Amino acid sequence: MVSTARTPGGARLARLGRGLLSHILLITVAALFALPFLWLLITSLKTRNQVFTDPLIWVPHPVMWSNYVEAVTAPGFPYLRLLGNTVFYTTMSTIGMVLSSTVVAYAFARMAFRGRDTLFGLTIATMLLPSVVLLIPTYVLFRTLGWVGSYLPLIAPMWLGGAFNIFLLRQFMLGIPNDLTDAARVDGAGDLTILWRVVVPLTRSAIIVVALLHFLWTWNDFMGPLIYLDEAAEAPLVLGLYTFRGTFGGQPEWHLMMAATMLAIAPIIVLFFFTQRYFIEGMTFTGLKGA
Amino acid sequence: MEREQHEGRRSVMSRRTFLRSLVVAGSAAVVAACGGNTAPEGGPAASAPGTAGGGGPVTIEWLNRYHTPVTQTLLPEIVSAFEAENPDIKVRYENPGSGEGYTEQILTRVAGGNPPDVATLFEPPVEFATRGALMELDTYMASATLATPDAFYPAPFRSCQWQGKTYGLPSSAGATAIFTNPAMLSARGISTSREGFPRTWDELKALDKEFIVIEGGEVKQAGFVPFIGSSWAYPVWSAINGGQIYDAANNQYTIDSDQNVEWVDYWLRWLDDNYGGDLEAMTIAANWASNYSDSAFYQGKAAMTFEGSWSCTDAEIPFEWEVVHLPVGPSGSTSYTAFYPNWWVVPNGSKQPEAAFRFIEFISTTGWTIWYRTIMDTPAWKQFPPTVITEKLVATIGEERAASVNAFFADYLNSAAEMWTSPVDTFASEQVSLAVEKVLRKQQSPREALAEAQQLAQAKLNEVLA
Amino acid sequence: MATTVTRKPAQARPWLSKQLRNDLRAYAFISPWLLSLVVFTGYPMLATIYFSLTDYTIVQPPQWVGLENYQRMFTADPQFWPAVWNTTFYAVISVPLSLVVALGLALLLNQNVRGVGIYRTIYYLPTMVPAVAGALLWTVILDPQNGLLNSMLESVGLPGPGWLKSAEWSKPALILMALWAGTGSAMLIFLAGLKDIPQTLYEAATIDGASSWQRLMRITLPLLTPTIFFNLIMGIIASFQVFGQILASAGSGGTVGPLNSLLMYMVLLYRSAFRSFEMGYASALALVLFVFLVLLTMLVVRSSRHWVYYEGEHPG
Repeated sequence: MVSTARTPGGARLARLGRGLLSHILLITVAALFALPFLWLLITSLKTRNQVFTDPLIWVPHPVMWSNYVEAVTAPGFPYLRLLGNTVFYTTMSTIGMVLSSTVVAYAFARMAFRGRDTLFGLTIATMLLPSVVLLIPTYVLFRTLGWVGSYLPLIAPMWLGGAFNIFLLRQFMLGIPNDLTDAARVDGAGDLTILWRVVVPLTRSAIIVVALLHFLWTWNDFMGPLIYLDEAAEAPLVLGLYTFRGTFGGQPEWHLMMAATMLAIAPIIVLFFFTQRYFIEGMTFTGLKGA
Repeated sequence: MEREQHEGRRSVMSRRTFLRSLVVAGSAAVVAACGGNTAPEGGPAASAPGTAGGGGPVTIEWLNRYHTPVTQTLLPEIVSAFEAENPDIKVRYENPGSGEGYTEQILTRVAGGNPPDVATLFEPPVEFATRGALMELDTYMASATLATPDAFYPAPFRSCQWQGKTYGLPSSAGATAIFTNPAMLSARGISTSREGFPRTWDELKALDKEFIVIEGGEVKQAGFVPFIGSSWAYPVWSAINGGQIYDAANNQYTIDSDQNVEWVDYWLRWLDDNYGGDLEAMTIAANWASNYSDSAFYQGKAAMTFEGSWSCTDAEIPFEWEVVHLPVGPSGSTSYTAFYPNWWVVPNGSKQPEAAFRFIEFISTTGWTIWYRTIMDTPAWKQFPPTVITEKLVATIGEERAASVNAFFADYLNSAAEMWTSPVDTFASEQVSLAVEKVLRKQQSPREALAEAQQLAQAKLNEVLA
Repeated sequence: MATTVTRKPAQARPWLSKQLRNDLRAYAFISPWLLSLVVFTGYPMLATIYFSLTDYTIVQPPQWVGLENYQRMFTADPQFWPAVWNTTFYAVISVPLSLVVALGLALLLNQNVRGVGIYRTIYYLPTMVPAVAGALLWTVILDPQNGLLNSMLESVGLPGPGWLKSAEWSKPALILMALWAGTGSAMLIFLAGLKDIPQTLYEAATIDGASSWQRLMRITLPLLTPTIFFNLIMGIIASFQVFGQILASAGSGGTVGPLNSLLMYMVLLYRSAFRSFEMGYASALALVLFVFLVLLTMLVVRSSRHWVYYEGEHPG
């Protein structure tokens, strides 16, 4: 903003101009971010020979909807099965994560016990630990248990809670007025009842945030499925997509690859559109508390 | 480059070293039960879980490696043809999750004492054999009728051997050739016949130059670009210059031999003389490797290219083409072909080694006809009926030409270069291709780069031999 | 992580047995997490150290080799130093660049214009895309001959580089991918930080005649330093572990990218552990990365005293 001594009309014009500039900038950046998605869609509807052309083809002709059918029916990319696998193990993982983290967070937030602060500090510290340093012994452990080749290594640890989620839920639970829980306690309610009847309903949105972030993280995880699953029948979408990359003879069939990619990211994008409020809340929280 | 995408071809997997400890392969101790042996819940229809009852047929478990759409239709065909011939054996196959985990799965299952009975390999069996992961097949071969040692082309068969013992059978030997575009050749009044094709690198380099069009520093058209793509086939370039990359008889790498330095130096000068010396600019201009649909050859921007027989059906080249022999280098005298087999092995600890051998004997001899009718991956079995010609080839280039191309590859396999015979082949090949790349990108001289690769490869080999 | 529950007086003077019962009940609640800390954090931490001093291939018990793995890493492995160099190059450029872009986007979104919600969604959307899918998509876009980007560059007269097929441009290509896919989260965090800056400060500054540039430099950036600090640390940790996009765009077999230019540290580690089964060597690689990241984080934390601005009462 410049001088306040301007005429009202001039100020309005300046504001208008700046607003316009902002919009142009916002739209340009949005176009840059959206263009790869658009290109993905366009490419997925092309014939094989239209993928790399000079000049570029912006409007596929004919529009090859059949690429999607072909990608889905290709034995290398059994879409429904991959989707089913992903939904199954992602859901199982998320349920476990939410349940355990909620219970643990409750203890850290609302119960007094010796060693609590030390343990909580330790929990925070593990958040900074790069997962790579735990990778190999964890793998060896699961191998010894005979779990490699099943979903167990991907699901079981999640049922024990996660540092970030515990931390996040605890912060929310601290915000619940003591009066509410005390009242319940006076009525003779135990901790489990209080947790279930009083705390969980009041922490609902934080729980949804935890569930969504964990769901997304699991859905997109690549390393886990890559090292723990070894059969095509078990693979989740991300791994299926990676395998699909190498399955066509000779060269990647990019038009089909792009259709498969589209199908792989579609569910998560749809989910995002319906729940973005929570995602944004969750991310926001991450930063604030972390800082 | 293209080659790298081909299912079942080398770079899908690379392991520089293997479980050193697979020496223990037999020891059923340690970790049992790695997930591999669970049946895929509702996998492909054909993989019906068979049970080996006491007196009934035995069931062998085949750890399959193929997963392209077309191969998925061939697998059940092969299995049922085999079962029809061998009513006492049932074959159950599994699809692996990705190329990534395949080797790990074999190795850990061998180590854990529950290996599959048969496995398909896209990497040389020697790498597995030297770690004790594979069964020796010589006793079975001695009493075999079809898969006898001399029934296969010599070099592909030797790719299954380590110190005189046989650890696998090659079903295909995937021979290679230079593919030409006769229309482009004849437009310049150049002979399109196999016999009229250059016999030496000098002639080939001169022929290449005929076609080169460079506009504004950008290569718009080329004749033959030998140095881009198909790095797995480098042993053949060494061989046609009279050299060798690995000397199996003496367990000795010879990467920086004079012939090899001469070969790489020749390529460097080829790049400089014909293309202005900028490999990167060339890479950006077009895909000079292979003959698939995104390649310069396919698009009519290169008159010749190097590729394997499988591309005859895979690539669907949209014009008439011809295959010719590789010319020889300054120090070479014989033209060889590079080849890329699919190998079949019986992992150590298989519970049904005899039945397993019968299956791999079938697939690498008469059974391969089922495959070859659909996919032109040339057989390694010498007695393979010459009348079996890939159907798609006949459909695209006609019966007579198809028969001629078919015979060309079969004959060429009699002079195949020695390759795939080292226990550290994957690691060493990587070092050689890195060395060549460094030379072409002007980072090192041929002798320096190859000497470095030599030192690393030999050190790795000695580690395994120790 | 300051907030603690103030204990009630009643609990401060408990009978021993009641205290014990309380403790036991609480420990029952946190028992899953305790188990996780022991089994999935504590044990692997220690085991990594031990494994790194052994020759361990899973199928045989670990064999003690002392510092041999480390020696091999620093002196004999032809891929170690290239991987270190590639990863460092990638991190050193992509982390600050992503921070700047994310901050720029956040500033752009922190204006009172209509439809900000839609823009925010679009900017954040790439974050949702799995690394493998993103890498495949960008492989098509970055095709040197007829990819979207090079075609567009050529149409305005710029020469298109070889991107993933070029030894010099493959890492910039990766950084470009990271800018698209990796700035969303940092952007949202910045945005939250911006919202927390009291509006009154700006109003006061405006009255004092500060230009928007001055307000950015004197108010916004200083008050945002804690957020920058947080994003910086998260960015460093993530960028040194870049993995999925590499496998999807360059494969993990053979040379990773032209002249191994995309051979990242995690790819080397993955290949050692799960291709060659050299768990001991891979553990040593993991530990070296870990120690390096700890040192780097400590360095950043230390330096933060000089540039991170903490207000008396933090608005969190």
